[in-house]
Amino acid sequence: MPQPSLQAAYHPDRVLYPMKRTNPKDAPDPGWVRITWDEAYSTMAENYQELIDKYGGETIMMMSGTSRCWCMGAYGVFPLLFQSPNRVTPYQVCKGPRHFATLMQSSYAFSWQATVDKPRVMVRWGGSTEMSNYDDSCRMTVDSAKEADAFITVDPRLSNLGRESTIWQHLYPQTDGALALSWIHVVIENKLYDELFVKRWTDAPFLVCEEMGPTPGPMGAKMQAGFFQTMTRLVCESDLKEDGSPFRLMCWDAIQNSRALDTLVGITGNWDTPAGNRGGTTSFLRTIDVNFGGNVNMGGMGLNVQCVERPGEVEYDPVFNIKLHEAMGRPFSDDPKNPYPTEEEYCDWFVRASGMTWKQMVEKFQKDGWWDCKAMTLKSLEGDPEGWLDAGGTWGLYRRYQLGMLRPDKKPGLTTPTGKLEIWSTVMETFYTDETDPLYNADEKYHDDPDYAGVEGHARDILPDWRPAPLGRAAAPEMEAEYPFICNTGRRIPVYFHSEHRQLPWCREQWPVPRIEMHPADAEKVGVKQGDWVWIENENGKIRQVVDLYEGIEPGVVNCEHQWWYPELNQMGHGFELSGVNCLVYRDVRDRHSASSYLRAYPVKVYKATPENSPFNNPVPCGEDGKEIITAGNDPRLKEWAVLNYGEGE
Amino acid sequence: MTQYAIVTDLNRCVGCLGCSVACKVLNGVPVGSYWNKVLRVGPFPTKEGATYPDVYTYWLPLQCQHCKNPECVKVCPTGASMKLADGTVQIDKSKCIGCQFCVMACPYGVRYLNEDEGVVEKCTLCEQKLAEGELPQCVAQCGARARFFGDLDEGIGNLKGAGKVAIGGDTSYEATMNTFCTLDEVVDPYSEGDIHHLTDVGNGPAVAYILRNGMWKGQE
Repeated sequence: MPQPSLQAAYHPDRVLYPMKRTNPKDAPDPGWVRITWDEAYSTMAENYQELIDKYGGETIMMMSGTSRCWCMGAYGVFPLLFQSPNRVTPYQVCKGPRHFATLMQSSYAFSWQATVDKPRVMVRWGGSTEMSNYDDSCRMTVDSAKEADAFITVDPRLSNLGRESTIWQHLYPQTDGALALSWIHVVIENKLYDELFVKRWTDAPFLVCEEMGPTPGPMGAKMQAGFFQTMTRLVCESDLKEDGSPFRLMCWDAIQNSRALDTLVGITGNWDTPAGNRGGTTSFLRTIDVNFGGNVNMGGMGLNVQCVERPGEVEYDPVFNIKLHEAMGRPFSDDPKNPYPTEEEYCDWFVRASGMTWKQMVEKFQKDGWWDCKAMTLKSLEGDPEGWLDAGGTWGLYRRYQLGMLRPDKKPGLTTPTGKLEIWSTVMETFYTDETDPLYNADEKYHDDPDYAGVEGHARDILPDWRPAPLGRAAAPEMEAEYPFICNTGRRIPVYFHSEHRQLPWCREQWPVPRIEMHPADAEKVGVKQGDWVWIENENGKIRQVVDLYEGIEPGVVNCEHQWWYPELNQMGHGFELSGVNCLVYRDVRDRHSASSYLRAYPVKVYKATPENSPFNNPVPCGEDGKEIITAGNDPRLKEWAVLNYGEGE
Repeated sequence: MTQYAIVTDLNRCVGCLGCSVACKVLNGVPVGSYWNKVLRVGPFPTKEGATYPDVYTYWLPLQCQHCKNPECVKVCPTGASMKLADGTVQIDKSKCIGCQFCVMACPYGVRYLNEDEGVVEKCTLCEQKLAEGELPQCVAQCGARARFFGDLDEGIGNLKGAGKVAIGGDTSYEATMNTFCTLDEVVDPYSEGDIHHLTDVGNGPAVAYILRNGMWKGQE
């Protein structure tokens, strides 16, 4: 929802100058005073350094927002600056698990689908990209779904676009992995798989010999992790011949959820094909530069160009990062002659491969518009259509594994240790054997625990598998009496992007309060009606949202909106604890491979909020001073927020 | 005779609310008032007695219907509300006395009193943009490209939507703003029976909706 950005840029509550707290943290009035940037940087540097000297860099925890060219420090430069791995980023629950899963099993981020190529069969598994994202995702999603011969939706609820599906697979929450594996099974049983791809580019044909222990397998070149030796029971030539190669594999034959889906994509011949799942494609800007450069994944490349003056003394995020480095005496760039580049130098560096300066590129962009990535070459930017492969652009090229374009060693293959799509993952096998898995070794109880170990007693998850969710009805039936509803979270709200924009009048008036979707039969059971505030409670706490009767959800399942906070409450935390559904998340239940939180399908109870059971005798959430949150579009506080501030005051 | 109107393909509309927000950004509509709201209809059973998962829902963007015989114009005591030659219904704010007869007469509740200015306001079909050869903002910014604008007398299929269908070509800003697709190029096939209007009590709403497969819940 880019249109209300005006209200974000010039919001009257926006901080326009560096500010310093002058009262202690627990004081009711922080006593903010305006300071210079110099003082701000030196204060930050001094205090960070003190903490690092005293406790080590790991004492600093960083957080970043989502996919933008600002507030991205925790993704990139801050871990290096502070020498701390302790960062929290949305990536951990967003695209991350899909990217990590494909990184282990096939190639990094091959969860992307080339919708721009117009798939004949469009499968949408969860998600609501028609309204959850910015840019052109709504139109791209609707166009792709409508133009496909078949549009298949997998979702526990009737979704905005899902209602137009050829097939709506309305599965029970947390059974996605089982459905994916079943789908694979049907494909295999009916010989619907792409035989050539399966034989040549997956490890399916290699015999797994149960009698053999793991032997040194292929070396893998992994992004970020460097080189490591895999240990695999896939039979290598070296297992059979004395001088055989460990790199030649011989015979015939969730993270896990994402792996199952990646497998499904692979065996059906949709891996790096037109309209298939094909991971990042690049222009001369690489995937990691996307936030800087613009969106290259859709087949066009634009630039993120500053289009309004920054109000007050607001600084460009990368400049903030550079200046913090400077204040801490750590070089930002690897050029010893210019360790602290200016904003212009920094931008020039990013586009250096074009042979143009940033300023020249911006001028060209503003004159001619978006570049077509398939036609774009480095030299073509200057009018010469030759030579773009050398520059690393991969748009318009498919089946790149055949061309040696995916692996750092330039050999054909995927980026896994074996170069195959590893349905039997040598990475999982190596890191989670009986011998090496620290948890498995920590306590013998895990050896017989079917939720943890495989049926043979070996650590699980070498193959994409599925087992009931730890808090689901099958695994934790005892919770049903107390907590009769299975709560899905993360219902997307079209006018907001995740936790953002609750302070923008043009958004908030459309959707003033958080809503919980509930089947009318369930609502009748617990005695609530449309528009009632209800408590949603589990062992971790309780929050309030407003009932939205919705026949498109299965009885027994409720669906909450995520990430609510109330900027109108002038208090620490802005009341996130009043309605933020993540307050109900179990902190100790996580994906053991990527540490992603268990954000869906946990048991809750739902009951009406009444004056008797609510703080301030008010079912509507209130601030610490007892004042109600904004609940309607005509709230005068929204009118105050609509008065734009172009740089006055603090 | 010209009759400007908007037609929305409700099988494409996904309730993104983009039209409603875009309208406010462009037209300076006061916070808490709307020229264009999006209503959710349903989910409702697809057949008698059905329940989850046999349910369906759709979204209904609701604004001034730019009626052929507008009630609001008939009741206006000063001639502020008027029907123009292009078929749109407009308000001359200099003549409006804020009596709100029109607000009460409108069958669709799409007019409101701007209390600061003491005059009634509603959708203008972005006449300032039409004058520049552009589309109403709710059409230009429709996320799903479900909305189309133009003269009904030229046929619904020729109404214009945002952007072009093909990828590539001239991507300059000017071309992006001034190249349009047509309804028939974009939407799935539809029959006359799939074209719907809000309930007509003699006022003849010009704005129309396409919804296929007999799912329309309105009474025409």
